[in-house]
Amino acid sequence: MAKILRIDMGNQTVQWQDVEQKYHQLGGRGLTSRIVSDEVDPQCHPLGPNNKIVIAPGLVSGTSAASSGRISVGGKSPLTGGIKESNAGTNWAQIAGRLRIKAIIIEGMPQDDTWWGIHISNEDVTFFNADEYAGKGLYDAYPKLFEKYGSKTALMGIGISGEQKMSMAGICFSDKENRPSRFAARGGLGAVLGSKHLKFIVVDGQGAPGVEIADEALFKQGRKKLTDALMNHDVTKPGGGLNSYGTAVLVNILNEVGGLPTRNFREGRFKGAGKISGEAMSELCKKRGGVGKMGHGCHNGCVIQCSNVIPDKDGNELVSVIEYETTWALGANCGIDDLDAIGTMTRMCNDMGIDTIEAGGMLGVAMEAGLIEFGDSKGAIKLLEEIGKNTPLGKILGNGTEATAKMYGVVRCPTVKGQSLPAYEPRVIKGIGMTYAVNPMGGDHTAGYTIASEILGAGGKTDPFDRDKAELVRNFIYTTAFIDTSGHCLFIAFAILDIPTGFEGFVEECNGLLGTQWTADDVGRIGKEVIDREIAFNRAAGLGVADDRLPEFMKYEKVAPHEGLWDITDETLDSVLA
Amino acid sequence: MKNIMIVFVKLFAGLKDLYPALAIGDAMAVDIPEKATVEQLARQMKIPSFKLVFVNGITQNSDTILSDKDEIAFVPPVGGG
Ligand code: SF4
Repeated sequence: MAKILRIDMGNQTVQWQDVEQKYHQLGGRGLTSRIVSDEVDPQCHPLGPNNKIVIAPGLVSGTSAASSGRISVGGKSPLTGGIKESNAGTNWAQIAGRLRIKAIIIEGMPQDDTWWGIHISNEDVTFFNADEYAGKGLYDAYPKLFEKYGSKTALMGIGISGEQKMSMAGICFSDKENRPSRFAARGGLGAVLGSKHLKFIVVDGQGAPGVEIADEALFKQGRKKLTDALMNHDVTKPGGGLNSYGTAVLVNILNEVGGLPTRNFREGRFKGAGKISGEAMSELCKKRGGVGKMGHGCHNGCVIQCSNVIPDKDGNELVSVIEYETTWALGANCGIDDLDAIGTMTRMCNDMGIDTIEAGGMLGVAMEAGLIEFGDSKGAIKLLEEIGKNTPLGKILGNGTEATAKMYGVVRCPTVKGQSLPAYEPRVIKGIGMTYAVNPMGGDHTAGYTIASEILGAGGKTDPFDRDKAELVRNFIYTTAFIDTSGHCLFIAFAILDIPTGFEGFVEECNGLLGTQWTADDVGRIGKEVIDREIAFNRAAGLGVADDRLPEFMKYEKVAPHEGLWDITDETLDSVLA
Repeated sequence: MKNIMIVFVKLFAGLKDLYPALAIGDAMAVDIPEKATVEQLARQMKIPSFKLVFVNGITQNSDTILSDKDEIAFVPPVGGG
């Protein structure tokens, strides 16, 4: 039977606990949000002793299900002041699943300043002193830890930003070649771990018993149907859109529709878009050769493989991975059209354990404030260095877009609930704007990725300018909460939206695993329960409907080329998840 | 040459490989007959298939009739996030 591992950082003790009945059919986001709701006082200080970090692999993580190595991390966010769930693709999730860890709950905080690491294996759970890694980059720490614990393990950790309890600190998981590159990035959960003085968790899968499956035959049948759908859909198949060009294939497309936020959301098109696009990354890999690679997987068993390894001028590794959001945040949003500079900044973010979206949002606001000019990549790198040096300026910047805007009196501050908006212009693509506004996580696109329909035409094309989208947004948000519970990567959505047998297989996999008899209706129902609970936490934490709004400037500043304005009424917004 | 108009065409993702000399994100000028549709343009350019087409930044379809100086972008099936 899977267990819950409760870790008390106050006295460095652990306890294996039975899984309560109410948690049996939950995993991933469904479980982390449920435990946070049950155990964390919504009014606690996010960095105080009463906040907790809850980590859970998805329901099918650790099985042979395709693209299912997602780990979910939850807690109260120091960035938004509300509940936070952030997830990442990593072997860590699979190992945790195979070790039959239903969830890890990290609570309490030590009395002294010792930094801790935790090693979890099938035999035991041990603490180790991690002081030697404090104040150092993750590119320095990860190879040393893998050397010590073996390359078959997987790592979770926080960087300098987390140690300094900065609100842009994410939680860094290792990829399948053990790089510090896969992040549960959003919402500052790295700062919460920092407050608990926990630097790393190593998981070792040797001798792990594997995930329990109630009905093997049904599980296998579902797995096959879903895998077939992924292998045949033009977006997700080998050699398909995601595999060949990565997520950054969207740069040119969003630019074309005037929905690529540029220079801190001043415009919707960026002249240098082509140079920072997925096509440019692919060309760079071909031209420079060496270790450059598109079609890289973040964990073993991903059939989509949307990640990349970007080479430097000599063909050596510059960084893995530059995602669409990253190349936008550190590129178009800052007026920077140089992939090498974007790669350098991405590596700095990985090294310091920083969310690249929040970093790019912050840099855009810093440029707006006149600290440096738009397009000044050298200046941007210097500002990021300030964070690493923990200077007073670095402290401000490290606390994110909204903190920086406040300090410098910048009104054009693109955040919702204090969290930086991602790479889609809401004045032009209304459904994603509604998702940003009302989903419980703050400015977040993955919470309800309506871009799939509004721009890419998956599951039926909708008009981005159409304002009648409450139902579309609601359906995306609920379905996403279920996918995030299953442990599958959100990118299976393209295949299950278009191929009915893929969706069927997805549900059958879960039924096979749990012995349930869920239907398509249950997907929406369970997703809704997750979201309702998250919203209830936010309300109890003091976030009201007035926080479910986009920044005011979007109502009166038109964005070129379509001259779009944010014009969704409050009534419509309030109806989405009512 | 009254019956000919010029449109500007961009090709994204794998479609760009049809015209290797075209720089990423750049548009190429193409002469087409007046009142040509998106479909006719695609055929003339030997674009085998596409999932999306944008005309002046707005989603359109194969039947859309083009005008002089229109900017057209062809996109194969892609995804991301
Ligand atoms: S599709 Fe991309 S993000 Fe998703 S699991 Fe695969 S490599 Fe990771």
